[in-house]
Amino acid sequence: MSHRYEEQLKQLNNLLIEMGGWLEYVISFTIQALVKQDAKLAQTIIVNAREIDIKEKEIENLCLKLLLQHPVAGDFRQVSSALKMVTDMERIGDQCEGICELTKLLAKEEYIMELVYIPKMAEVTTKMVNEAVDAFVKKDLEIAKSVILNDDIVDEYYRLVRNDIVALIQQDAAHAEQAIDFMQIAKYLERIGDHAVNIAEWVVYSITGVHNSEK
Amino acid sequence: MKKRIYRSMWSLVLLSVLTVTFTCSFVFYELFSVQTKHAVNSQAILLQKSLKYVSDPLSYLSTLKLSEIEDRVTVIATDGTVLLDNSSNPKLMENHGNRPEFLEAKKNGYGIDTRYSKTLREKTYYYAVKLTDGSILRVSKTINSIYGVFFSVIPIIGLSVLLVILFSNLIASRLTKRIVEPINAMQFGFYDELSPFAKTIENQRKLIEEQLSNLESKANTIKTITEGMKEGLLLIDQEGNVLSANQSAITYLNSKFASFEGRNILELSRDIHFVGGVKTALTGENAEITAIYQNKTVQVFFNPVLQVGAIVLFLDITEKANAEKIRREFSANVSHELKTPLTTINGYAEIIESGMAKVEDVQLFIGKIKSESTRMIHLVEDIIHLSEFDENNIVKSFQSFELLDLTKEVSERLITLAQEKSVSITVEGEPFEIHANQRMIDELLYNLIDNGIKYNKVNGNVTISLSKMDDGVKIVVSDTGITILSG
Repeated sequence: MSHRYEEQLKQLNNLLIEMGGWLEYVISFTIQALVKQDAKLAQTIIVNAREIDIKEKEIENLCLKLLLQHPVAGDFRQVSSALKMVTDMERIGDQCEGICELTKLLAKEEYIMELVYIPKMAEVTTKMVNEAVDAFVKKDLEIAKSVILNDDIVDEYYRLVRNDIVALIQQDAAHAEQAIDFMQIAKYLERIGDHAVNIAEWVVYSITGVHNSEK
Repeated sequence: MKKRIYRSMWSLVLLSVLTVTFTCSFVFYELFSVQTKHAVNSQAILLQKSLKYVSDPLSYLSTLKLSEIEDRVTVIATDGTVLLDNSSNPKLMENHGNRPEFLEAKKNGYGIDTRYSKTLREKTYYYAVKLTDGSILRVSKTINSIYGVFFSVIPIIGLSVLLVILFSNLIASRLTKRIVEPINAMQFGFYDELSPFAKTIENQRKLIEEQLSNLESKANTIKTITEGMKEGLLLIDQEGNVLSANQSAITYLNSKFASFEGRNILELSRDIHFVGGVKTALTGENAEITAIYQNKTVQVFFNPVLQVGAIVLFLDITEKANAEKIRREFSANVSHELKTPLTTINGYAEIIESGMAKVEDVQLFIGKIKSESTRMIHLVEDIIHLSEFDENNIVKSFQSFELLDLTKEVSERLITLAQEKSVSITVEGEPFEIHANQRMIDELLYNLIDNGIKYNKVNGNVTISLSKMDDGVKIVVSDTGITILSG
């Protein structure tokens, strides 16, 4: 194998880790902004989230360059799963941006409810994203599998948040506007969890060659 | 090496074969031609001598059937006309009057000449003698010239060279093997010629070993130093791969990898600020971040190292950060504490200034201003004391004094206050000589006893007992008043 090819594979690995770092940063601060009603922080995150899109393009280009050199076996899996992973990673960035936009709107108002389940949900999704990237970095099947299992917890929290919000609207129709926003935020978080699972599944595929959907 | 031995062997063989061929050819050819000449000469002389006794030499020679002998016999008349020849018809032969051997024989009685044929491959040797009747008898023999000899032996030489090369090839391969084998096996003792070489190698080996162990011990020293460091240290190359990491760095980054060396820094920490710092350092500029690792506030420095990569240094600044926090809180508190009495003073002063205060109240207000300013003075004094602590110059003012005496002296000073509150003071214990800042111990005792009196019940008691401990003195101030709740 040519030296250049090897270098590019290494670079792909590094870029994915870097993108993972950006994801972790964006997601953790997104939750902070939401809880602290910090519109300024939310705006900063929206600006910084562009870095994720840049990284996605960069990784896609590199993947295509690598595919032109006909990688085989493990290398091929690594490149193809990287191509799929960046899409999920980029989507997570988008969901965070969505939450930040809502945070900016909600920052001026007093929250209709005390944020109990949403931060907990966020904590689990952050951990999932964190572990999904970790699984990739360490090529660790166990971590990847734990990410996939954690999705059930997120779904359970989503159900709890939904119940709370339904109760709030029933209590007072004036709550409806904010309630919808919070519902959306919960949905965004739930989606982030799903994307983290996708990433973990692609990590499993890149290691074992078997994708979860095939089982 | 093998090739060179082969080549030199071949050239040697070729050279010797050629040299031997040439020299032998020359020597033998010389011998051979001299013998031929002698034979021709003697034949001619023999014929001349015998012809002396013959009346008609020509007809006698004809009867001899000279055509049967190999040598050519010619009789030439004095005018050069060929009278007889045993190998061709004399009538068809040209006049021989200008031949050198003929001219010479006519003059001296005998003549010699050697002439090459047109192709140079043959030469003919002529020997002429004068007969009694004046005609010349010439005997000649054609032999191969030296060139001719060569031409004729070339195929033989070629063949023998080929054979020799084949043979020498065989020998060369064996010889080469035998020469090279001990060298390959590094058995330099096998050749005396190689012993200086072997010695040099041995010396070099020793030198290298020495230098290696030197380097190793240096590396070990550095490793021991870095390993023992509380600060984390990471050395990375241009590509961001970890060259070395000490234990502290590994602890700070808390990566579960068994070994850091050779891994990309991204695998250890993908925190965007950290990655940003690394990238800055790798482009040749310094960077610095503050981060939280393992519940510690850590300052991380990224410094470029020319031609290597970068050094990452982790510095635990938790204490400093905490101290900074306390200082900030303290100054905020102090400002607040100072502002409260000042606001009061300012308020009363304003009332007095505006003339709104009644005359009898002015006295009261001034009293308030005085008490507030006294509070402020106390506050400022406290701050001064605190700054003394900060400056660490308390140790300088240490002195030896009697603790029991000091305790008694302090309680004496407070006896009036105690009497006012109907509280009794008891001092117990033995005398102790201690080394400390007397003024501050004084203050400490004063405050404790003072509080014991102030927050006591009527007819209560304050007891100060001194008792010796292993490593110093225990001062217990107990009172019968309300207890101070912990926390």
